[in-house]
Amino acid sequence: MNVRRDDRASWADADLLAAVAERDGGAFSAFYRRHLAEVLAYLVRETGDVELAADLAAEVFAAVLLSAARYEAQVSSALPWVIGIARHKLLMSWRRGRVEARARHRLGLEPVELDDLALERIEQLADAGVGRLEQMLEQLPPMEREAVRWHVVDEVGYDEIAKQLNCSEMVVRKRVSRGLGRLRNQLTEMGPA
Amino acid sequence: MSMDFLEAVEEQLVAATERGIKRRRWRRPLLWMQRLPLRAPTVGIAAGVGAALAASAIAATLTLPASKSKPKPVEPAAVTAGTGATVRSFTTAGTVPVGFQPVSFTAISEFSWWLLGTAPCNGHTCTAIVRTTDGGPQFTRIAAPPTTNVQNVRFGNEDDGYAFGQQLWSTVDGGRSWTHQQPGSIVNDLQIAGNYVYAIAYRHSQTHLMSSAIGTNNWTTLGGLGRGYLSGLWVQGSTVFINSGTHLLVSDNGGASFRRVGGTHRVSDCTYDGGPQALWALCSTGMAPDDILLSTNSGNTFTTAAQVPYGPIDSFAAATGTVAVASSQGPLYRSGNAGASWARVKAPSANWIYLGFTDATHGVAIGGFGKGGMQDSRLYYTTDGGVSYHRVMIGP
Repeated sequence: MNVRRDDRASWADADLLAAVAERDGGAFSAFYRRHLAEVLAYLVRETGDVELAADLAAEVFAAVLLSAARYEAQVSSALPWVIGIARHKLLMSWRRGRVEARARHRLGLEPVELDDLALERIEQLADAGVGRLEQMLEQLPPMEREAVRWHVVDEVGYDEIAKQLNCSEMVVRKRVSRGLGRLRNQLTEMGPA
Repeated sequence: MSMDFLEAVEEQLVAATERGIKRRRWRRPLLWMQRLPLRAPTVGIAAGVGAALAASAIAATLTLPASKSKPKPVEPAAVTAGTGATVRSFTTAGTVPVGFQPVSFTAISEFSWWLLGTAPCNGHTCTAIVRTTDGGPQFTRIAAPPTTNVQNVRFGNEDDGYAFGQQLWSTVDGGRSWTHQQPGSIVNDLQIAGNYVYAIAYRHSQTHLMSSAIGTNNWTTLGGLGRGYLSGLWVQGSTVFINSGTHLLVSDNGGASFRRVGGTHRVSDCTYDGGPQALWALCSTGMAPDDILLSTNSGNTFTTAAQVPYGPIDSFAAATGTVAVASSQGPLYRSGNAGASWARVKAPSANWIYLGFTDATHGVAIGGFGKGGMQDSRLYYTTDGGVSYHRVMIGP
């Protein structure tokens, strides 16, 4: 395929998205390749289905393209923003009872067939993405890691976590907040993948 | 070298980037969650219900994300499957679980309904199904499939039912036992008409329309639909409507053959309701307000209804050829003049995830309340064709 390999791979996410908004296909390619594994890892984890995750990932990146001009950098990595889009697409899919495809329809994208080889590759990529996410979590202090994992990953409420950990809800909130702060800093330090 | 899925997606998106995005006029919706919800009276819905419901089952097709932040007293419901894995589901009959949140509705008569939803159990969110045989005053829990991978329920009669989502499960004994079916890796939609069940199943990155005689689980793939992304399944009797990706197709013989109709409108993301002679379509237009269309000639041509205030539209249902309701960013709106205009319905603002009618005057709505409309799911009922809705209490 027409792969664009140039210095865009070293650009910051915000610069890539600004370029995408100015119709720079190479910038989109660099952004897609940078974040695809983490998006797949998140979607495979949430859906438990590689095919569905791949389909939704296509929709997520179509939405990234549609929203690139509106991106406002909070930290150097746009990964939290992309994962936010993925989460929204997932919720919309469950709510509507079908795989969300608005962004792809809007862009006029054609359906793409998914064969067994591609499924295998997607699974491998998702595993790599899980590795990166897990690596970041592993660098948190144990109590913060546990709180972030329960609250953000497993979506358990603060009060329930407090009950399980036998501490106050306020303590849990602080641990989650500090843990997320550290993750943000990690993303800032890591810069582009 | 063959191009794989991820590369093909990348190439299409790169090409789309270089083409540029045609900007739409975008009207920001009102932040409905900031408004104070109105209070509706709470009544038992059997009161005042007169007309018999339509014979075909109706069902919710949408799903509310599980409540995250208000765990309530839990009931031991998680069971351990043979593999040792814990199944998060109420797999036995009993009382309505505390904190039950309905997400999907189906009915086969005026008084016989089922609701699939979730409830807290052992610190988790578990699948539960409740039913009523008296139109709402009393609900009991029936056994649910041993999975959280179902978000929708349909029953065709007292015995034969289906729960589906990422998985498809069926029962032939009113929910006493469930069997895992595998027509595809995910079931996007499922409709029952007469003695047949139709499902859009997702397999090998393609959608397929499957059908089976109800209760037999003998699934066959229906052909003649092209290779597009199938959606918008709507069935009544032997009439089947479905989007083929770019066209609306209709079958008059239960899916044995299809022909193309509705050529004047893009139908790649539409859902349908009503009847063959007055077919309503809700079509997504991306980020712009959604379109509601109406056909009075079996889908051959459509006219565009007036825009519902504050679109995009969350859910939609048609009661007759002239009456429909739609939820738009919180409030419910009703048209009594074939979509010429829309008026606010007497019901609270909510995240309305499902609207449906069983006949010209009776219908239900499932709404999400609380922060973001995602914390407390409630069932509402109308007996006046959607002019007003009243809350139906389910369990404790």
